[in-house]
Amino acid sequence: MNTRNDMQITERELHQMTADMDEMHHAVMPKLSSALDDIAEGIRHDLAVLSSIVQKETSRRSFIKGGLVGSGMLAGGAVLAACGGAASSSGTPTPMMNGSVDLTVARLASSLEVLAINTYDAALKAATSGSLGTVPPAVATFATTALGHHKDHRNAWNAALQKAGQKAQTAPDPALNGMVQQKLKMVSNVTDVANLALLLENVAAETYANGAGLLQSKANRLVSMSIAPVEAQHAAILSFVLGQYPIPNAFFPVKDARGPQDLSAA
Amino acid sequence: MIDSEHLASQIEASQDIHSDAMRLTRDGLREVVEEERSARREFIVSSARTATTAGLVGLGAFLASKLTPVVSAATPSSTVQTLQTAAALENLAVAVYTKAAGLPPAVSGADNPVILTFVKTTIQQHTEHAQAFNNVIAELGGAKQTGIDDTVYKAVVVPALGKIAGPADVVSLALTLEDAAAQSYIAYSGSVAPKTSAFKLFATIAPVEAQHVAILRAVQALLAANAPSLIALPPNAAALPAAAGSVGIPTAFYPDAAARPATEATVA
Repeated sequence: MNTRNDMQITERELHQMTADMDEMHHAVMPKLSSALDDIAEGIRHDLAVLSSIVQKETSRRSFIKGGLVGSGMLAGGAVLAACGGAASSSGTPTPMMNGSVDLTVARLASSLEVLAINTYDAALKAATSGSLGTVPPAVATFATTALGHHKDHRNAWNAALQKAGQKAQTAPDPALNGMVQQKLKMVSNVTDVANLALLLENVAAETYANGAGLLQSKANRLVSMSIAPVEAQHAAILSFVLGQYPIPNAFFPVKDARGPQDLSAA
Repeated sequence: MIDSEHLASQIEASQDIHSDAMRLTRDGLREVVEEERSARREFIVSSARTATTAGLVGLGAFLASKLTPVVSAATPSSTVQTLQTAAALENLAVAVYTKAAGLPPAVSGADNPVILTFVKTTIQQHTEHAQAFNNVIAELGGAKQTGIDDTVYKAVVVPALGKIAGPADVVSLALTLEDAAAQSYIAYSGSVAPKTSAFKLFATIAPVEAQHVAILRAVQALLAANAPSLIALPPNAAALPAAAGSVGIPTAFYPDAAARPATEATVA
């Protein structure tokens, strides 16, 4: 990477900072692991109940079909149509899973994290290739650190999804990805990339701050509440580097928060 | 003709589905109902009480002239009590920043225009937080918290005030208070129902306190590196030490282990 380091922090200070960071990290991870178990358990419970309902719904439809056909009143196909469509041939209750708010929010959160990861990855590759010009060392360190955080966030949500028997979310938020890809094609310097990253960090923080209230599980809410401040911190550091006042609002806005509808965007 | 036996079975199956759906709904609403019950209890209790205040707490003559005293109460936790503690943390932050702003600029760091702006803006933001917490307390029928968190004041602020010799000391104290607030609000969000005004406040204020923390950490690092000139807007990004990019964001998940007890600064 094309970087320049005009001033060094002392080795002792850096060592102390690193030690402090490690200590905080290790203090948080056991609690997070426990919270993730709770998340997975909550989602498993939701899915079990929903599966039970769908199975009964399928049985009910079969029963009605058989009963009414047997009674000679109606053809079974017409009854199924009136009931809103046939269940899948495999019996998998996929459509009903959308009823699990926590599951949907977890997938949305993961999709935003994937988008952030892809964007920071692309930015770091561009920096390495020299296409962004000189990259200040603090900016490079920030990007690497933020990238690591977003990976941790994605892994947390995906671990919860997988523990609940769901597939991990590996695709970026479909509603935002197109815009981000367009902007990435146009970036030519560090300021452009930092502005794009600031946009994504603010959207992520707003989504977590707003989405926390949508979650049904307390454990899920706490995970969301522990991530929102970190995304907001990313935004503050980026704002500072860009020369903007880093904490412009007394209350973190939620007007640009993404919603579950993002997942159905083309 | 409809077979009456079949029809009875269909009704039974329909009732099963209804029961399952209602069970799901009940699970989802249970916390909301509990919150509503809690809020009603709060209102009844507070209506029956005469609000009292007792004993002045000190942050020297300056704070004594501005703040209403606080008494810690060992009553059961509730949304109102949690909000009162949150308001007390905000009031304490306002008081400490205001005290810092009154120190000689070379000591407070206010000779740096960015730090001066930060102090003024942050005082305003914490004032708004306290007002917002108190507004919800009032909506729930509780007594507004106009005092400071006396426990934190005695355990953290008093010892620190006696040792302030320069900007780094002020930043360190502010950092401690901001971090405590951020961690507290994350933890408190777990004790109030979602979709309530209290929850929304914690969800939108905790990130702001965390931003204060991030900037204070960066400022602290630059002061420690004897580079106060880099605390500027816009900064000389190329000259910032590499660690400035990460020191403000040490964790992927903001902790809440250092949250203040929710009933630490309630109003009787």
